[in-house]
Amino acid sequence: MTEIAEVTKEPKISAIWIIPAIALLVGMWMLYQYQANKGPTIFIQMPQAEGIIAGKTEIKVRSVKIGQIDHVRLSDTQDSVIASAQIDKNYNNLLTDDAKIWVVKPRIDETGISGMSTLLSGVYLEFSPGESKNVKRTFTLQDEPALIGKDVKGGRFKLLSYNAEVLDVSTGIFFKNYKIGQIETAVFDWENQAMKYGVFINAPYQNLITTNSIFWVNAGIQIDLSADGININTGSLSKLLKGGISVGLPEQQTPGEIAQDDHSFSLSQSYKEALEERFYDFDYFLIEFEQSVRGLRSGAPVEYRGMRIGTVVEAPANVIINGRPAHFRNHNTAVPVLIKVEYGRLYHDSASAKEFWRGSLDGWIENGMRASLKPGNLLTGAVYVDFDIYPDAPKAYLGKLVQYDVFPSVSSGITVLADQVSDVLNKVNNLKIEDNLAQMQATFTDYQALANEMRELLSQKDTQNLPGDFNRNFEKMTKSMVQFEITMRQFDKTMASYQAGSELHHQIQQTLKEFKRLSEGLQPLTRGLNEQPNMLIFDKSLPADPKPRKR
Amino acid sequence: MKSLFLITNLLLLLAGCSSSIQTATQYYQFEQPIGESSRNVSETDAQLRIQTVVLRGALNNVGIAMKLDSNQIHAANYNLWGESPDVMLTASAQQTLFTAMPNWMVIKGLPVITELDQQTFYELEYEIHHFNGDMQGNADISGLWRLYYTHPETGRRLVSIHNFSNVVAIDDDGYDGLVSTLEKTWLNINLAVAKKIEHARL
Repeated sequence: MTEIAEVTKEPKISAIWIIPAIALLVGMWMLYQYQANKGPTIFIQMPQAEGIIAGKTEIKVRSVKIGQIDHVRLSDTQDSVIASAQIDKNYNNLLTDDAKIWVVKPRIDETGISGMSTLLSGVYLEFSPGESKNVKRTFTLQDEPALIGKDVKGGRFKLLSYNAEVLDVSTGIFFKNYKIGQIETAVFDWENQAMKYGVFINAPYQNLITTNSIFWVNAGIQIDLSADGININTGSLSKLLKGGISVGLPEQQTPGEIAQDDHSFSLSQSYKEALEERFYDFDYFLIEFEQSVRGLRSGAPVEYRGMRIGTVVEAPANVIINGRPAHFRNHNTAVPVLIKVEYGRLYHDSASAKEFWRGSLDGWIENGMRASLKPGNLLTGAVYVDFDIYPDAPKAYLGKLVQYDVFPSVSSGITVLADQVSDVLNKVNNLKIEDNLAQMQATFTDYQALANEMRELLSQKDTQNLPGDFNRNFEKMTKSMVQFEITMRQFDKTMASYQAGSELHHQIQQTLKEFKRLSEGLQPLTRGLNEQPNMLIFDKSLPADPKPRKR
Repeated sequence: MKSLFLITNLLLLLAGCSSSIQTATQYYQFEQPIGESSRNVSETDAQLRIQTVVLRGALNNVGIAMKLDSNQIHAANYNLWGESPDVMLTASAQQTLFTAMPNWMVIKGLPVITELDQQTFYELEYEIHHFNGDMQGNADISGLWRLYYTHPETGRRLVSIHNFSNVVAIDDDGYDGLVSTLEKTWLNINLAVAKKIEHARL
């Protein structure tokens, strides 16, 4: 039998390729699996790559590795470093745009010592996930670690400080020496030259922060020198080392409403200043002074007869009218000063105090209330604004300048005194002193000549004897006057006895009457004797009387 | 001794021979009957003070004056006033005016201390120029009177001057008739004065 040869066509691909093909498939599968398990790649921009090692430096969240730096290179501009990192695919959702990342390394600062474990293991990157829904692949490395995690409960507030010392981030916030929070951010606002702090108060202590809370820098050591001696108060050791910010309420005040997040407070240099700066309910007033405001500073007190009612805000006030400063107006030489009347200083209930002030202001001004500048410190020349009643002040009313009410003013005592001194000096200048001095000189010359003559006269012997003669004559005159006085008294007594009503006067009257009657009785005799002298011896022969006869 | 006795007897003889019967001297005065009356200061409205009457020259003589002719007057030697005429006329005038002016306190002489509200007072001043009889059978009282008013603040001032001339025929012959006529005339003068003062005060 013959076998039939079968002619078959040989396959073009050898079977030997099966193995490589399978290997290729396996390899592709593995590549797929690798890519599928690889997770996202993120890029981290950092100023430098100190301690960062590609393929070794890990990225952790709460000490759990979520990725690893796999490549480090310079940026295109060569001013920073770009590190790429592989993140585990299971943590893809953590890569939000508000996430923060920083380097954990050994660190010694005011919060303590941290990152000691990295001395052996090397640095790693701490990743702080955010809460945003947006995914991001590019991050910027933070200089400092985020102190407070997003998941920490509490409240965030803002502090604005113009004068207080600059404090660092993480500085503690203390309530009655108990730490309730810390400074979270600190930014210097160069435009306003003020420090803006963000503070975090841990829950539940954020409820201690009310709208009337005051913040002040706690110096750690307080030294009070008083009549009782020296009193030194120190806080906790951390406060002693780091200082801190104290928060509290003014004495004898009850807590107000709980402050909401992002509420702004002022940070004062001390508790005393905080008490002064705690009045947030106020109104601005302008005062136009017709005198120098030298020595008047912002922050100077505004008082009413020694009771503080406000604060000077600007001296002079930066008020612009028609593009020109108010104190350089054409027809007004007054210098405006901006003050604020803080109603909380008048009464603890600011609303009532404001109503009282606004309702009474016109009447007070009508009765003579005026503002004036008074010296506060003679050494430094500091002055303050004082309100008082001046009944003789010219009539004035509450004016208006731009958006401010303008309170009337009077010149202070110093200015008045200076004006009076100036007037006196002008009068002195106008005096013709030289002429008067010449006349006085001439007069003095005359007096000198007279004095010389008097001296010569007194030096003469006869003149020197005058006092003795004068004394003797004076004694005689005294004796004579005494005698004269005695005589006059006697004369008065004598004359009194002749006055009407006196005994002697009565007797004289009686005598005169009797004398009159006697003379009347003697009339016929004397008339007869006149006509017939011998009538006493011989019978009288007087003519007979004519007889009246009726018609 | 004998010669002394003779001289004494001679003188007694001469004295006895030279004596004769004297003419009697008569004294007269106003009858001026005085009625019983009294008056309190508080009951009167005003005060009138009568100054002592002033008589010219010899008219104040106690001898009753008789006018012999136009320029001659005779003071009687044997018919005399019982008192000085000025005193008699003043007393008579005060009594007449006191009676005629019931609302006045009429006094004479110097000021009298009375109530304070009567420190204002009137004064009556008589100046008599004729107070005599004449040969035609008349009694003559002539002269003037002045009325003054005194106030403590304004002082003394003259209110009025009145001249008067009362020549009245005598009622009867002799000095009795002359005296009674003079008295009656003086009475009428004062009554007229009282009326005028009352009128002047109104």
